Amino acid sequence: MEQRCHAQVDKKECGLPQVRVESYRGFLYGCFDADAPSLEEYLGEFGWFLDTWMIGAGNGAELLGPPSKSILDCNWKVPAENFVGDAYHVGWTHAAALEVMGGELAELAGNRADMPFDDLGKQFTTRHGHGFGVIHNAATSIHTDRAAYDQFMADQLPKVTKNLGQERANLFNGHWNCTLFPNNSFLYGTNTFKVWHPRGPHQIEVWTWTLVHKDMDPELRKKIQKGAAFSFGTAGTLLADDGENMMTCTYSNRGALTRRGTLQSTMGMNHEGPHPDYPGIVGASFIGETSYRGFYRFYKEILKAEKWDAVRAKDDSWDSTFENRDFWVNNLNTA
Amino acid sequence: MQSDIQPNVASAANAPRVSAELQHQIEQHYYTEARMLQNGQFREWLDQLVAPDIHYWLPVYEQRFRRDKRPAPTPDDAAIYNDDFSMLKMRVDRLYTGQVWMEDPPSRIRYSISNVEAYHTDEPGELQVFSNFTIQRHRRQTEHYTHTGGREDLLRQDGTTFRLARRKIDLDARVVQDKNLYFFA
Repeated sequence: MEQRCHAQVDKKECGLPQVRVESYRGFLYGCFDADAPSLEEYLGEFGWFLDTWMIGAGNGAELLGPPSKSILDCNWKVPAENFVGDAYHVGWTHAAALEVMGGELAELAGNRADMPFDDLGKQFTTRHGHGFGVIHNAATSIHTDRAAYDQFMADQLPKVTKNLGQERANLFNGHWNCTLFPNNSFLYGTNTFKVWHPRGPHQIEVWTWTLVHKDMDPELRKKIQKGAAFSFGTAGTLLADDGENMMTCTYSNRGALTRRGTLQSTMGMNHEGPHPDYPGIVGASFIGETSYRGFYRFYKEILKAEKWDAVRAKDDSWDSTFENRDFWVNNLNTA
Repeated sequence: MQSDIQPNVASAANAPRVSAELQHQIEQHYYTEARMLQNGQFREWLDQLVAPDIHYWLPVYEQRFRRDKRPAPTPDDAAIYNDDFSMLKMRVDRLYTGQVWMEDPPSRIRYSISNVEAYHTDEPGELQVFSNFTIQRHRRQTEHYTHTGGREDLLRQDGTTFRLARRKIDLDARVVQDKNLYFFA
């Protein structure tokens, strides 16, 4: 048929662009840049943290679908930064849901509690902008129907300790808010796993899966899937609060005057540094902006770098912007 | 596991339709329900119109090709709402805490309910009812969202009124065109 239409196209020259697809512990990621590092190199030291639950007690984790999808009129960086490190917003933004749902985090509702935040969790950031915050011993705390989940976690813990050691066993039992740079975020413990697909500078398409341990039995998976949709699904009691913030932050910052401003990201600055027990940079409090600074530091770096070689050249010096190098040595010595 | 209402229009066509009088009562009931939800009377809605054994369900439907014969979602699959009474009650209670910044100022929301088809079931006093909805939601200064879909309800007669025992919602949008679905369809 094409011949009769005088087609001029050589189909051999017109294939689809190749996407590189690589797996880390069964999680598949795609990349269109042939010069980019391998997935394993790109995740780098962050893999040590991910192994906490991607290996865990041995069988790791997987996603339950199909994903629910929704449109959110915000810039992709707003939810990415929210998940990478914003524990500061939790008590205020989610006051209503925390109060009704109860659990340990209910104390955060309305920011009324005077808590020793430095003892409750930490923040982490590594090469390439990945980061997360952890609240210790709070993995299941957003679930309201959680007895079976708590039991599952308790049963897994000795195996995790044996596989991965005490530091990661502690992380296994914590609640994580995390972003893998640039646009993949999840809440470990709350079991929500999201990709923020940019649709231009002012809109994203949100895809939401449920993150479960492979060892969970079918009944527990169902319960977890229900609970994750209840809190962070498209009609989630907490997610609905966040969507409002993400959209209005983007909207407000498009104004002529607001565009002259700069991003404030100084909370907990210098209360962070290299740590003897963990890779990357470790912040002292889960309410802080260590992982923001890691995220935006790499965003700036990658915008300025013309080629990946320029990024690779900084692989050993990327964290020099975190200046208080002895924070943890001093802190742990006095403790 | 809660039983699903089978969306079997063929069997519904053989089932006895309700009388004109009962049809009228059901339609009026839906209008009252819509007005309660529009007015933010969520506690009254839950207390007066919802059965304690409610299954309130909005499954995640995928956009699929005709040849894709994978089964339709069940209550064990991914969902946006998959609530029993206690979950619905938490959603409602949250709206009364005085700390729901996302709904302050509140959305202006308007329901149009149409295409009401009601049938008797094998269970006396339980009615299978199909309806369509259009929901218009205005928020903030200029935000406007439209949601359309269908509902399959199991209504239980309760004196002169009805209680909702099952609701399955089929939202037409496969990519939700709103920042959240925190309202009751």
